[in-house]
Parts: sequence; structure tokens; C-alpha cells
Amino acid sequence: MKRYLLVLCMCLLLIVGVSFAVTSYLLPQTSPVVTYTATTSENKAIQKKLKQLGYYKGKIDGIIGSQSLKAIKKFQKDYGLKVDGIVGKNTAKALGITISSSNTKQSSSDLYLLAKCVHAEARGEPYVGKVAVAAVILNRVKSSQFPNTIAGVIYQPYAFTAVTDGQINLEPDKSAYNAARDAMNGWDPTYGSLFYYNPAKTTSKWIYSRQVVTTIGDHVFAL
Amino acid sequence: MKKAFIITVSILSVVIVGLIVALSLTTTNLTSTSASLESIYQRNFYDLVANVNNMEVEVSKLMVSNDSTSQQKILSNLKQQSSDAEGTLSYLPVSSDVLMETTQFMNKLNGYCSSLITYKQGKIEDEDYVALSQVMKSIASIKQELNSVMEKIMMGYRISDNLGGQGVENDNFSANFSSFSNDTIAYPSLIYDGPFSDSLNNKSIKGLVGENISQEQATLKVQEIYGNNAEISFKNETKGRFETYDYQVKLNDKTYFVQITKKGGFLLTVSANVTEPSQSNEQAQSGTDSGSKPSTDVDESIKISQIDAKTSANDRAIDLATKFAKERGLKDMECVWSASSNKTAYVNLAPVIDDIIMYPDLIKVKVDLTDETIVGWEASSYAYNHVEREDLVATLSSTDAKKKVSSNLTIDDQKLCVIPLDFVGETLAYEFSGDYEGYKYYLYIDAYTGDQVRVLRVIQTNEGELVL
Repeated sequence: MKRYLLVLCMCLLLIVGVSFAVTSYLLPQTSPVVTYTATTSENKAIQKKLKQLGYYKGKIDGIIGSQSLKAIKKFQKDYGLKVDGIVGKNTAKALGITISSSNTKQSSSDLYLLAKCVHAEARGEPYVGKVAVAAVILNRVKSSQFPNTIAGVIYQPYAFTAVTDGQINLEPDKSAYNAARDAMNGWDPTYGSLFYYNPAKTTSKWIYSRQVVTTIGDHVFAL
Repeated sequence: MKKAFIITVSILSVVIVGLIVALSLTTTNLTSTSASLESIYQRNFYDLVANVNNMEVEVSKLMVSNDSTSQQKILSNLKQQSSDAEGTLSYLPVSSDVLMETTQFMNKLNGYCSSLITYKQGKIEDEDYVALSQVMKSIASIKQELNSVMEKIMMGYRISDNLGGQGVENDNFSANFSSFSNDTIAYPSLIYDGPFSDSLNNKSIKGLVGENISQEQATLKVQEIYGNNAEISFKNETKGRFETYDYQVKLNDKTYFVQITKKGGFLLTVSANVTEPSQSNEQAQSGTDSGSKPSTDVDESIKISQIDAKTSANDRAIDLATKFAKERGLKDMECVWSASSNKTAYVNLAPVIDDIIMYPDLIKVKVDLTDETIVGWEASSYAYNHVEREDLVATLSSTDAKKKVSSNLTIDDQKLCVIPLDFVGETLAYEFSGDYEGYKYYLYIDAYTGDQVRVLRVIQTNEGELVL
């Protein structure tokens, strides 16, 4: 009986394991959220309109709090819009107000991507080593020998091992963001380097033919 | 016992069937993934072949056209095709070192076409014909190499089955392109006013003056900045576009990376991470939703005090940055732009001489507001460009310059400044800042010719202001 229980347990474990593997394989990854904010005067217009329509009963103060949010969501539900509590283009249109496009904040997709690559490629490196890796990516964007966008450079086949092995999808930490931001603001401790490699790990013979600029942490930077 | 055995066997068989189903699902998935990957690679390859074929046709048409309108049209086609070819090249699963020269060729050709269209109105001169005939030869060789790969693919060669990774050492897809980087294909050098031109390769360093200093002298300079309590260690000599002595400085829980130029002993770079803000701090800043609180007036007052704190912090950062510059012997530096987020402030300093802002000599400073230290200093623009500029007298009056500004723009402010030109050199210009439909713009009018040399738009991002 004991053996039977043991086998049963193992079977159950197997089933759980397999189903977990299959679902994690089939489920899509979540994507980052792009935020949208409106100005106080626009918020006031939204509140005024919602009050006229009977959805909002609070003060018209230009601050979107829980009461306003509830009103927006109810309005969106009634009008068959996406219920997200955000007054975007469609909701604004349904409310009969216009939102100036200047208040659509751009999401810094380039910064995010750069920070991801820095984190994946150089998380064990000193801070300046992270700035240097970000700077190499930006130097490549500027160089005629590489693609002309940050995404193009990062996702160029075989350009970065972190992309090939999927580590690029790790969430970047604060110091990776800071390093990426510094590099975008012009910091480049490698002064124009286009390559870096870890001499202890690299298998490419070709890379040794490049002119070495400097060494920071474990990485050698080269032109 | 027998019953238990039967139950065990039946459960096991259920598990096995389940496993088989899961496995076949995965395999089907893998097969379709591999097929779609292969089709993406192939589609991209065929696109590249088409781009290169079209490029050859366009260049050859250019050689026999004489009328500038049609030449302009052909040039813009050629520009488009070379830009597309650059894109398709970057998608090829071939390591970048193999494709570098070809990518460069496509980018340069793109810039060359732009400059012919912009500066010569498509009018092609004798020297251009010489360059273009070389371009035609290069394209023909690239086409030939691509054709041999295409023949393989038509015989059933699958790109995704031959992805051997980096380098051309193995017999993988990359190996098909080895001729792109050896001397089989000759790439012409193209000189023009535009990005990627061969004339831009040797940017001169004008701002560094004086003798070369020794490592000991550089160490003294670092000591001068950080004092005797700092733990200073020499790390490296950097031989990039600037030759520098690199130091690591440890002071009060911070690690700074410091670069001093050999020539003139100039402080080129400081880089350090900011103090991480504590958890409570961040919450205070993101807590703008008034929803859960009864009175909204309280929130308003918090907001106002935050804004006040932010402004004064910004002023403090500007003071710290200008003081630091003064201590480095840079006296006329003034803040021309600043921004702060969380506990970090960025301050851009430029020399202001006789009320003229010298934008080419920009120094970027980053200040950690938690402990009021300079955690970033980036002076490469200053080192490249700083010179004593003489005879900066505008020939165009400010009223005349104002007339050149589009009437759509509501002008708030105007200044005289020196700005770097797109590719080479600099010019004296009037800076007009103003507003159009809620966007803020900066417009630059050349103070000699009256041409609009640049227009910038300020974009709000969730990271602060961005100027494009």
C-alpha cells in the first residue's frame, strides 16, 4: 500500500510538473505599461463633463482621485469603451472633449531597452563598466558600420550574448537605468569604443585584432 | 495487492498518454516556430537581393541621365534602396563583424545621395560620376555574392538549419558572406557633407592645450579634487580618441571613476552611481493620487511644497556645478539647461562670453542631491571644441532675424549663441525659444546668412524633458 501511495505521489508530481511546463511554455509574457497623464485643466474638463452626465459627484478640482476614476470607469463601461480608467483618445472623444497631444508623455522605450541590455550584459561590473557598455551600444548606433537604431544594434544577430541566451529579458535594476541614462546624456568612458569582450570568456579570435582602448572591470573595450 | 497494481498501471498509462500529448504539442509548436523563423529569414534575404538589384539599376540610370530633375528622382530612389538594404543586412543571421563594411557602404551611400539632393539639388558633377562608377562596381560585386547564396537557397538550403553562431570559422550561414569583409569587394570612399562621410573620421581636438603630463602629475590633480581623505588608485591608461590616465577614487561610500587627459591634465570624466533613494522617499514622490484621502487641499499643499523643494534643489545643483567648474579653472561657465528627477540633477554648463552662449563647449554635470556631491562630469565637447573665438559680430540684426522666424511661433525669448553645425564647424546664431500649439521649440537663425540652421522641439517624457 505504501508503495502504491509513493507511485501515486510521483505520478501526481509528474502531472503537475508537466502541466506547469506546458502552460508556462504557452502563456505569453507580460508587457510594460505605457502611462498617460493629462494636465489639471484637462482633468477639470473631464470632471465637469462627467458631472454633467451624472457620473461624478465630487469637487471639480482637476485631481483624478478614486471618485473620478470610478466615474471614468463607469462611463467607459456604459459607452462600450475599454474600461481602464484612463482618458485616452477614444474616451475623450466619447466625452466630447479634446486632449492636446503635447501632454501625451513619450515612454522612454530606448532607455528601457538600453537598461535591459546593460543589466543583462554587465550586472556584475562596476558602475562605470555599465555606463561603458551602454556607451558602446550608442557608439554603434552612431557608427556607419552598425544599424542606426538602439533596437537595431541590440537585436542584431550574434551582437550580444545576452540577446542570444535570453538574459535580455531580465528586468533591469536601478543602477542599470542610471548607467543607461548617463550614457544617453553623453557619458562615454570608452571614448568611441565599438566593441567589448571578456578576455576570460571570449572564443572569437577576430576580436583580438581590434585596437584596445581601455579595460574597465572584466571588460576590454576596443575600437 | 492486485487491485493496487491495476490502479498503478492505469494511472501510469494516463500519465504516459498525457506526456505524449504534451510532447507532441510542443513538437508541433517547435516545428511551426522553426518554419516561421525560416520564412522570416528567407523573406529578409530575398528583400536584400531585391534592394541590391534595384540599387544597381538606379545607379546605372544615374550614369546616363543628364537632367537634374530626373537625377534627383533617381537619387531619392537610390537613397531609399540603400537605407532599406542597411535594414535587411542587419536582420541577416550573420555576425556583425562580417557585415560591418557592407553596412557602412550602405549607410555612406545613403548619406551621399542625401547630400547630392540637399546641397547640389541633384546636379551631378564630374567628380561625382567617378565616385558613382565605383559605387556601381561595388554593388555589382555584392550582387554576385548574393546570387551564389541564392542559388544554394533555391536548391533547398535552409538558413535556420545552419545557424552556427558567431564568426565564420564554422561552415555556417555566416560563412557564405565571408567575401563581404575580405578584399573581394572594393568599397569606395565617399566624401560629402553629411553623416558617415569619410571626411569626419579625423575630428581634431582643439580644446586641450599645454604639455603632456606624467602619471604622477595626474595623480596630484586627482588629489587636488578629492582631498587627502580619498583613497585614490591608478587603474589604466586609455588610448581612445583622447589619451587619459584613469583613476578609481573611494570617498565617503562612493566610488568615482575619474579620467585626466595626458595633454594639459584636463578633467575629462567623472562617473559614479548616485545614492539609492530610500523606500519612503520614493513613495512620497509617487503618491499623487488623492483618492483615498478625504481632503484634496492637503494634497495640493504637498504638491506645492514638492515643487518648491524641487526648484530650490535645482538651484543648489546649479551652484554646486558652477562652483566645481570654477575650481577646475573654468571661470565663465553658466548653466544653460538643468533638470532633476528623484535625487539626481543634471546641469549643462557652457561658457557665456559677452552674453553669447558657447554651445559647442558644453560640459555636462550630474549632481547627487542626497549628499550634494558631483557624481558626473562629461567634458569631451569642451575638450574637442573650446577655443578663444574672435570677431563674433552678427551681420544680421536681431529684428531682421526675428522676421525669419515662422509666424506660427509665439516667441518668448531670444539670445545670441554659437552653435555647432550638423557635421563640421560652428556658427553664430540667434536662438529663439517659443511656443506653438502647446509645444515648446528652439529655433536657430544664422546671424550671418539668416538661414534657419536648426529647429528643436521639447518633448515631455516620463524621464523628464527631451530635446529633439
